[in-house]
Amino acid sequence: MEFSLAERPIALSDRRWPDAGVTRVPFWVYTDVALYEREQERIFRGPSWSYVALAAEIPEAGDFVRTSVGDVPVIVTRDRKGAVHVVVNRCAHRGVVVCNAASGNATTFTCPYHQWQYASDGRLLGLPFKKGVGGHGGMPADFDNAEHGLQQLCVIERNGVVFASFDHGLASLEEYLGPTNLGWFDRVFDGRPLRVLGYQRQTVPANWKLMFENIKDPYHASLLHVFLVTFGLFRADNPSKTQMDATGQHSVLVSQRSEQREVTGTDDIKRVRHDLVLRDPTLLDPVREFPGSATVVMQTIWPNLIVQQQSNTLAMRQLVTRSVDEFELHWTYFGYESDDEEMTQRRLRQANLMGPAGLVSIDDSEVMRLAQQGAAVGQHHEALLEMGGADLDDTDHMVTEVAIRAFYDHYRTVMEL
Amino acid sequence: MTQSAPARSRTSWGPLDGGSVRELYDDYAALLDDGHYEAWLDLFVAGATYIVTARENIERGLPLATIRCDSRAMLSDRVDALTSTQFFARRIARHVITAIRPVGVDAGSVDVTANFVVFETLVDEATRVHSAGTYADQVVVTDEGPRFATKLAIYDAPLVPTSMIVPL
Repeated sequence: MEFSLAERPIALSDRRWPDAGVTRVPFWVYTDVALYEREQERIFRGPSWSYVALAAEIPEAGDFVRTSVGDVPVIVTRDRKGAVHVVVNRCAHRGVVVCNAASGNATTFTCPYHQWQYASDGRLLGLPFKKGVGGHGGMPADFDNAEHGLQQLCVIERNGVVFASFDHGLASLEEYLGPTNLGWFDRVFDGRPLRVLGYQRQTVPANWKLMFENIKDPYHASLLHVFLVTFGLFRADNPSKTQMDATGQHSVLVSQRSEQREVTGTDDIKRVRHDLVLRDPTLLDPVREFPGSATVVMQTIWPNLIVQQQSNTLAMRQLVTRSVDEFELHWTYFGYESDDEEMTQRRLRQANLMGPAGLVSIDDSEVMRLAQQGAAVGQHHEALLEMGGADLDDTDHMVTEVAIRAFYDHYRTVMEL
Repeated sequence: MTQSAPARSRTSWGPLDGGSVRELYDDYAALLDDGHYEAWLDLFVAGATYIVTARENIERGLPLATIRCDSRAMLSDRVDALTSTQFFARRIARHVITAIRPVGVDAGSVDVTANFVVFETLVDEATRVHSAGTYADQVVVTDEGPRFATKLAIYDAPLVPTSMIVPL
């Protein structure tokens, strides 16, 4: 009888990036469990600003929402004085999840197991039987509440957007984003109070980096997204540009829609439907609302955020890693407090384009699933990133994969690969 | 055996026949699952609204939906996308609709609630529960029989498994 031995796992220390460098991505980056653990440590629990919430989600004292930084569950809270805190949602005693509600209002959090009670900023306020009962038991005399709080993250807020980091010595968000990407960020978050419209969430059976690759890749959008192409919202011949920060970790993809008409940019697209017209044109009635000519601005902010502006649909797409081959995508749609009812309705209708049932974004979640399936059986193979050359420079067109190359250039530095 | 108070005070079907409403929901499930989208669209009146949203948005009083169609024409645009522009892996959906009850009645319409479970089977994968939730609909009397004037599908789990291809 013959036994076929399963392939022995390759140690991370034996992994070697392909010699071709930035134009190749080995498929093991999507499947290696040890690499995923290193990502959690060096990226998500390392020196990076993770998006956690919009301040408008927790407007009042005591408001909180639950979310995650990497795969660590956290609570974003607003204390009695109005300050925002981010604390790990795990009791310092026995590790029980302290807060179960997805959102709510509470100025203290009490662990259900032994009633340890914490303040909004994570400080341990007290615990039952600390001094024992009837002279029995109790914590040691030198037990210090100050040493047993919920772990606190460093918090930063800019124009209503809250970021957090496990690294308390990180540069400011302004320095982190760099001037170009900060400028695009401030275009949407210009200080006007935001209004949260609601949530869409989905689980995607793919490695989290495939989501960033997708948004950093304008090349695919002009081919895969037939709906966008058909209605002129995004096309290869539209005026476009890709701009990175100095490190390559953040990038922005900017484009400008055109009218629905047959042009050279659609010649290579087999599935494009020139005959398709909307039976209810109010589904797509975008209006210009920002200075300048851009109608699509997709910004990826390392390590877990995509700021989406497609026409008038504005959303934070937050990545939550779950395992090497699964992530969650949390979409928080918003507008501005100053929006009139017509604009709010327009944003709500245009949300049809995006999310787990999006007329456009369904294409992406489906393709990412298939990309993961391909990677899982291609351990000794690699992806090719040569569209637009092998450079890492900003471009003024969308027929390029440069932002993915820049992303992995930075990734390799952080991960020492 | 005792009945609960809400069951005893159950609203009547008013202008509708309960059996024909059951048939409306059965047709809804069968036409969707078999991909007969044009016939499925005919189950809605022209001015119908069709909204799918997560329970958390309802509970938090937030207006966003996952699918929002303000008219049957907009729902028809969605069907066009489903059948001609969207890319997705082939799958089979099975709608199971139960507990169809009248909860409010007016001259020409009845508010109806029901539970749904949608099973999803992708090629090469085991069947899984895609979603479960409730409908809060308004059914009206027409010459062709009962039709949906509003359909609101509220799914319970906030996380949609990968994609929502087939409407709920």
